[in-house]
Amino acid sequence: MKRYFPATLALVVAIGSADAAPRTKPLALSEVLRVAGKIDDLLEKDLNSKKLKSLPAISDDAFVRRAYVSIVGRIPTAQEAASFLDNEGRDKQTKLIETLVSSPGYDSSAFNYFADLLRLQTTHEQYGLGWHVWLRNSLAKDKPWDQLANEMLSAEGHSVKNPAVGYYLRDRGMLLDNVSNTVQVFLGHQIGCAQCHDHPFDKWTQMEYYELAAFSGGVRYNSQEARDAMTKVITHAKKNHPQMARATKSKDRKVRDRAQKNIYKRANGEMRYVFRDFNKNEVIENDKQKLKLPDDYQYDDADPGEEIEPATLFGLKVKNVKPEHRRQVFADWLTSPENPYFAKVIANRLWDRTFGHGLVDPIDDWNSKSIGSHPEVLKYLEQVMKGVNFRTRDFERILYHTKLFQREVSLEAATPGTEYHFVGPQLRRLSAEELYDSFTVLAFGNTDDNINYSLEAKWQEHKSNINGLLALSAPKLIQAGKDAQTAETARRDYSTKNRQLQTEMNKARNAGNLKEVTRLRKRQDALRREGKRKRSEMSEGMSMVMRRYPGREAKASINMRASEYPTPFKANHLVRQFGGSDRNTTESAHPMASVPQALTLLNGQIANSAENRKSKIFEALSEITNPEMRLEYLFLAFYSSRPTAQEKEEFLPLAGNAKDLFTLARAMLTSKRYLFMQ
Amino acid sequence: MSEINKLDELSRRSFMASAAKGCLGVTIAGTAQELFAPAAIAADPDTVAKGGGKAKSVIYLFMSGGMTHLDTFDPKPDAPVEYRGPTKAIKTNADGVRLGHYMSNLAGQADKIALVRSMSSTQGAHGPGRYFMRTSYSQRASIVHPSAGAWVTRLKQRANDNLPAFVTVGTGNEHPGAGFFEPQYAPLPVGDAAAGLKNVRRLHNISEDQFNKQLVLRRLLDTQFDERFHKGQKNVRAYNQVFEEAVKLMNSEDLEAFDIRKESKKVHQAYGDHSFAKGVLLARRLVERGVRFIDVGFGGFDWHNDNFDQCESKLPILDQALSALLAELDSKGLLESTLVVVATEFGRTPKITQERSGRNHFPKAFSYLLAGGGIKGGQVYGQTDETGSNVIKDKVGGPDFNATIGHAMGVPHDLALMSPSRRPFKMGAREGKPLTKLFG
Repeated sequence: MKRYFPATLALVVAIGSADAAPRTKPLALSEVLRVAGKIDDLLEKDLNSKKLKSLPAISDDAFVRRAYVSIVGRIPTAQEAASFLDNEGRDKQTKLIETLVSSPGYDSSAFNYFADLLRLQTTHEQYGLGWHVWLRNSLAKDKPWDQLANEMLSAEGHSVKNPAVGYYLRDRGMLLDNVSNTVQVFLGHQIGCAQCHDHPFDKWTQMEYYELAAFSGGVRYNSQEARDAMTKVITHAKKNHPQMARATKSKDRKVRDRAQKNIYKRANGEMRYVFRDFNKNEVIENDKQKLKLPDDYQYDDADPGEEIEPATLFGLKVKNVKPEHRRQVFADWLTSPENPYFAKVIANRLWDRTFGHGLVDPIDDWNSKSIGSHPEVLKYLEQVMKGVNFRTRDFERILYHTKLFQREVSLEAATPGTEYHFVGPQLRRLSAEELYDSFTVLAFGNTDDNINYSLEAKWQEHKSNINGLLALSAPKLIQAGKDAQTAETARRDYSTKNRQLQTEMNKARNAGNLKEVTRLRKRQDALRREGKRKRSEMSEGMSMVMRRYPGREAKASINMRASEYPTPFKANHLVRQFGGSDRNTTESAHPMASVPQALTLLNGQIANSAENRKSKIFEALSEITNPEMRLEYLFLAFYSSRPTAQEKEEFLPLAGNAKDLFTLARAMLTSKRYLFMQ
Repeated sequence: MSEINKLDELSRRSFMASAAKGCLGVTIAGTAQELFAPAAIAADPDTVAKGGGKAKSVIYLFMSGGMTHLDTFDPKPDAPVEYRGPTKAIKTNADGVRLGHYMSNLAGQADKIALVRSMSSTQGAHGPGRYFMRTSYSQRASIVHPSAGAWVTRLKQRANDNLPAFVTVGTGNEHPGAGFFEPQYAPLPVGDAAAGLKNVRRLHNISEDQFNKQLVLRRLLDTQFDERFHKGQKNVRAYNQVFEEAVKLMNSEDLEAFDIRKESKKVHQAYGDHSFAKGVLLARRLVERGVRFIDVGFGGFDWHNDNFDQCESKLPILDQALSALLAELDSKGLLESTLVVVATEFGRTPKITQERSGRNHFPKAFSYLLAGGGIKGGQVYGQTDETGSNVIKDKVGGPDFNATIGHAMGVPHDLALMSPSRRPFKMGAREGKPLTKLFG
């Protein structure tokens, strides 16, 4: 990939090639441990200077639960917990971290995190699925964060060729918002205010906002391929209608224009249903298009409606950016190691993800004075982030190997937006996806390998459909257009007939004529069956254009983790009820309590997790006859620990009969010890 | 003492310990005092002087898809046939107020309603259109604005501490809900009105005795956890509280508000059989118990095809449920304290499309309906031209409408609250002005 920074700066920014393969191998463990140790030293120094003491190391059972939840996003199974507890090796913590970081569970959990950050919506039109698959694969293959960001921010073309355009299509028609999101997500700054007026609390002016947005001023969303296909159809039409073709060359301008317009209109009408959604799923760069100031621009430095030249907010300056390079320059500036915030912001975000509080907090409201609670740690982390070449897995791996990760959580919650001394990590409730995935663990055991391959398959199918369509000859394209129209008409006929029946049925029902209602319902069923039969007989071209939302078709099965579902989840889904992201604004997930959550845990089907005959827990319990072992199994399954002597005394009487045992299991599911991670 | 006796003893204690006020769909993250005193702002005397502040609840009926104005609240009997189609204008019990002939029941209640025929917006797509009408702001990718219901919840004190203040019924996934407000102002979503609230009854395989034992065990299992974290962790305390609230709700008499089966067959018949009608009926039950804002969605108004078939099939459902609601509120003496509105994202193109006899999206002019809550009935506000294509008098925007809801409820539509990104937002946005002329 070419980089288009002005020549004088090219040397500074031209690091690494941005091809698909990872840039480096994972760090050697010895190096990881050395870096982790340095972070601990810096933290310790800070604590000493403040006369504070770090918290003691956690017990094995707390550690195994924390490691699984933090690294692979779910609780361990009873067996996984037991095998760790029974292991007497001295470096078993290190080994467990190493295993988990390179397991598919990590990919699942990291995907949830980044999907929330980037507001990914699988089910949005057709591109959403492609973006989802692209992001998932990129993370699994350790695509470095700077490269991932660069590919999205400079993305061009149709989503079937370059699914990273999803980042722009996500905000089609809302380019200015896309820019403030970009700055918030990648650079940790909130410049949204300056979209409409100079920022009241920060230094940003509306002009600076527009200058930054001007890098994307050439973005358009219509498809070149669709236009090319249309040209094919028009050329063909002219050949078959020589009269019309002649008219388009008439000397009379009026005749010429009318003929041209007619021929275009006709082609457009014929191809309407073929290109309906396809047409919108592309990002192209129009070199002649520039961003203009709004009509109500109120400051003296420029006039309303004036065209704006792109300029950066901070760090490297650029000038004379060629229009065709605007977004590439923007992407390079933003992801450059010289950018004063890019590395620091992601380092701090991942620190917050691991320990529950940012070194700079809030994590997305930086300004030029932000040095955070531990300036030296922050500075070092920035260096580390660059040193691991933005491989986020390696960066997190280092954090997991710190002593801090193995300390007890602080008893007091840190206040958001204030400094915290990191005597230990923060206590936190499991995220919505972590809880959901933990329910699947209770029901099915280790679910990390249950990957939803239909996401990828549906996307490949969509891609080959589209490519097939574009490769069609003009007559076949026209035929596809006709087929699509036929399919559309059939769909409409069906809904008209169905509606008429519904109206009659409503009338009959209100009149109390139940016989008539039954008769009409039968007719409606017959109509439905016929519609289904017709759909199955449709030509390939027809069925393709009918499949408007491939993302919705990529269904996951019940034994899969939350990351395997097309997202966002619906508002009434368990994941959303527990605060899962709606993917409308960045990082909208939250861990807060609500009464419906309690009702679900008390009275929802989930409460029968252990009692359900098909569940893993039920299966295991039914194989154990000794009450003591049963009790131990429940403690391991829910809490990753064995009962203490006191707990045994308290709960053993319940393990003797099934009813009481299941009551205990239900109580565990609702306990905070289960819902929270220490 | 045997183990089980010990549990029973604990059980009694835990039930006596139940404290704070109820809150369903509400996040408890602070002390009860912080949480349950949402700015007790008394209605401003100026608002009262202008007829506002009479409403205690809002029933907000949203026709999703873009309801045709020409065939419902703004019929044009004198327009050419390619505009009016087969729709006739019918007389009502209010002088000079005419409705499309599909609204025959409502014609008998027209003395209770005010029609706003001069709604206008610039949002021609469904999602952004709905968002704008519900929030007063254009949809952005960087923030979610609170809906009118969330504003009312935020600014008006609860009337019933055992029930949520804001409920949505059948409004789907895209409702802006509480927007950037704290989750405690979020609506409780009810998917299917006939099915009521989910998970409020014990599972059939669990006896009351076992259930109570489970509650005690939960406490016991958390003993150590609570000793360590109860004091310093707000969210830990919140989880204790929500479980108490959940159990309280399960035993609460107010719970039956969500059970429309408690209504007589006659009442069910009056509202109609459609799921939307059930939602309207549920809304009425909730209003009776002090719920502040109920947003009931009715989908499927996007009639690009066969507009008039659709009118025949769909509008009677709205007509019947709405008329039954107004009649019941009136007879129960609740009309004066309940604002009822019929909203939609935009109108439909006045000229009927030839090939499909449909109407397309038309944000330039459309109609809303208001009734009760201090609204003077039997009036028409604003006017469109002879074909319903342009607003020619008293144009009203989404922000004005939401400001009007605020006015009726006696909450300040022009009070600015800060988003987490520290930007100020108002219920009626920057420009919203309440339609005080509508009030009696």
